Amino acid sequence: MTTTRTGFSNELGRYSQMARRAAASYIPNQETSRYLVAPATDYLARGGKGLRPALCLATCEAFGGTVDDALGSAAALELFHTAFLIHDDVEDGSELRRGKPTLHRSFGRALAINAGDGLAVFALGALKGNQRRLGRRLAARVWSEFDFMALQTVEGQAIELGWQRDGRTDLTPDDYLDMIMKKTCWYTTVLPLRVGALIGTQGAVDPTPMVRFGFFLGAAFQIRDDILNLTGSPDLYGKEARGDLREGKRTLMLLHLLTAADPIHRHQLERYLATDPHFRSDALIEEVFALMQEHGSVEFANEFAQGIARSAAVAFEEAFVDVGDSPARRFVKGLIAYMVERDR
Amino acid sequence: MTNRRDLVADVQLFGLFSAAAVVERYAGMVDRATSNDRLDVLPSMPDEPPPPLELGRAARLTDAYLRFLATTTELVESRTERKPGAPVIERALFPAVRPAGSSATSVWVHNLTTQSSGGLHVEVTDLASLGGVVIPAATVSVSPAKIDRIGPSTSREVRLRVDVGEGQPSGHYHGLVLISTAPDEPVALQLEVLNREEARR
Repeated sequence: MTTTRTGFSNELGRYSQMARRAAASYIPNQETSRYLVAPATDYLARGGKGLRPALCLATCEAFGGTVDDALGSAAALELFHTAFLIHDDVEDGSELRRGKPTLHRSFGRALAINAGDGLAVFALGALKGNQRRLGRRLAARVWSEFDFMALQTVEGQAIELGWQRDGRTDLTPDDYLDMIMKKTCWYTTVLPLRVGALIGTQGAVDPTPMVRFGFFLGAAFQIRDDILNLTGSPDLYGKEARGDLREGKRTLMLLHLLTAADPIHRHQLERYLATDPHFRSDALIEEVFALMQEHGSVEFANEFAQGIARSAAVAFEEAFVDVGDSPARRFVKGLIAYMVERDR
Repeated sequence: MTNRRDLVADVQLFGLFSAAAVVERYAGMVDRATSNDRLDVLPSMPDEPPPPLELGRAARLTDAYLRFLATTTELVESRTERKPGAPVIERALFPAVRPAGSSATSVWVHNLTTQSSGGLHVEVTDLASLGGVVIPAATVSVSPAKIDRIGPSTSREVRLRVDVGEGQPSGHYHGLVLISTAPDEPVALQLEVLNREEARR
């Protein structure tokens, strides 16, 4: 028996809504200045997929816990995620987020950055609440999982930004995978799975297999995200088309093209990457995209992700081997196809 | 002329192979980072420091990059025809290890066909250095050594672990992973045993 796509979407929406409500409850809007509350609640109010908290809540349920047990952690995840998004948008100079102007365009850079800081503080409040529900030891374990995740995430972001600043063109797919493990996978999939399983079992599970499943799932997600940035519809995807190319992000497609291009095109590409992003015209971006299409770079990344997704299916069975069938288990399994096939 | 199916399979395998190597590096890292708050029910931490991975990583990276290049060039036209239904298995590289240490890696057996494979056995040969020094196959555990079936278009992981003796000379050791249903496609298995000075770095 499998979860149907409609059923999957409904479940995703249900988990996501619960987590967003819980996240909003940790933002003290009564006695706090509107200069903080308004920008801090803006992205949360725009919706979003809610994949991370949904994965955490469903994993907790699958391992025998309740949604309420993991709601504080799921809320903290959503708050951290929103904080990361705001700061990422500033760092990348992005124009759109979830189909609307980015926060720094709506509120100005200073208030946007401060709102990101504020959301990280609110996330700490959500985690503090775990102690009452989960007990001191389990709450401390969950805290240490978040602590490790946060370090990985900011380091991953630093690596990506550093590559762009230094004009690095000597990177391999291994470097890319290492970077997305830190930047994306840890907080998108690995941590939600590990924390969900720990809470669901009151700390009785060894969460090690979740690293494998979580990374395969998260890597497939990130590569799909990179592909959608190149080829997806901005209406569905919610960000400006080919924004990664404009920023010079070292995606798998770009690394492939750097390797596959003949010396002349490679030289052109290196000059493009050495140019200040503000001077990368639409025509130049389209030229690079055309080269990617010509050399099969998107197709390469797609198949690369498919291989990882196939491994994710195996790793899922390994990580959930002792977990009985349930709607929550089927939901987590359904995420594998969703991550690779999504169009938004 | 490029064989598209082979190309797709190669790229998918490349993705799988590269991702598995990343997991190997991070699985121990998170355990160490969260160990202060571990609960008693969780496995205890090993006393010894983790095996040095950098040399293994460099070799793996080189290997992965070569595969990457291979996918962007014309594929070999005279590629050996695979027997229908025979699962595909890839090469394996143990992270470098010091004497008296152990090292683990995985190989994946892929069934790229649309039918389930039959049962198969996986075994490992002795690992031998160029100087003729041997690490016996008996010191390499294979789990699972027997696979009843692999579903269509799915893969199974086989874990390999080698325990290196205290007096094992340093050097590069080479062996083979043998899969019963693909006897013509042994997989190269490599291990570097570090000398004591390298192990201290």
